[in-house]
Amino acid sequence: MRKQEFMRRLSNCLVLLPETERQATLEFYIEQIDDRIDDGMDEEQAVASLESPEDIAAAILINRDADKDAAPLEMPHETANNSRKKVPYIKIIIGILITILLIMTGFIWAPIALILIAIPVTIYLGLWGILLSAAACTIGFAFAAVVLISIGIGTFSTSSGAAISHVGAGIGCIGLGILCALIALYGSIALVKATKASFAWIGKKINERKRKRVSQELMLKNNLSTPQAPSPTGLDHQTKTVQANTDPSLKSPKRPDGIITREED
Amino acid sequence: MNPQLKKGVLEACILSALSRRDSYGYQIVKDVSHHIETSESTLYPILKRLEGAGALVTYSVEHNGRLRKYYRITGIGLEKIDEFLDSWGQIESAYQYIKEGHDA
Repeated sequence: MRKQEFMRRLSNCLVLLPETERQATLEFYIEQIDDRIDDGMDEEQAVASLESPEDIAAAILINRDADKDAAPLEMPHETANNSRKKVPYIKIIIGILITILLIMTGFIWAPIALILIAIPVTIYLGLWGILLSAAACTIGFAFAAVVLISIGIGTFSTSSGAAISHVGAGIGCIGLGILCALIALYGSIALVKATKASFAWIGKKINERKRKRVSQELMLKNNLSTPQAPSPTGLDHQTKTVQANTDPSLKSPKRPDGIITREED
Repeated sequence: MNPQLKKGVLEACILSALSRRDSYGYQIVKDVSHHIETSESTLYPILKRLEGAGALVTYSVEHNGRLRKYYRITGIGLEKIDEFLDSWGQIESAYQYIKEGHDA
């Protein structure tokens, strides 16, 4: 392999690096080849004594992944700058048509959507309502207990039979009050937990979707098919990038249009 | 050699090569590879990291009509060599411990 070919392949593999970093890396390897030539090797030998451009790029990207201070990887400039212009017109037209259709059929789906939203909201608020009434009952029973027991004690000297039944009813109220208090307390705790859990679940779903889209864009950029699973770290994207460029049939990887900017996880 | 262990040793070797004289990529690889197996692709990320940490500085010198990048060790780099040498006692003691377990 000649020097130029080596540099071109290395440059292709490092396309995600920030421009200054890529330039510095290329300069370093040009120097290594030139120094070998000065040392008496011919150009082919000099290149052959280095590792393959793909292995070199892989080592750099993996090392970089471990380095927390490294600048974020970039999309190539031509796609990053022109991404908005490059969205195909047909996509825009379809988008507009769908929007118009949605607005015009609004009188059908809007009430349905409203009902679908209203049902869970109503149930949820209803549950809080039950718990609130349990709390109110607790207070009511507490009052009743105090009143009944004081009447019982007050009338003990005049009619002991009625007094005992008053006190008994009062104790019954205390029991019911405790029951209501327990329902209100544990019910609220459970409901708060359920609320937190469902928000966490929604957040997770949104994150997963975002991550999947980012990795799909990266795959698209490298002319690969859709990934089987979203990767949890950036490392996977990078190693796949390197592999994509290793393919000898891909002499100069074309980039499809319509790539939007990269999102941070 | 274990890659993590090698990384630390190689870093100290590179700093040591630079503590003898300012040097450039190919020369460092030639010097160091007499003692530990290495290549440019291992060297490059380490040099970059050391430069980022302030352990070495770079400057360019014209050579055969092109620029060659030289590396010079700094005070921080010399301290790193000291640190490495100071930690050797610990490594030796750990080695003994591992060896005893292995031989027993």
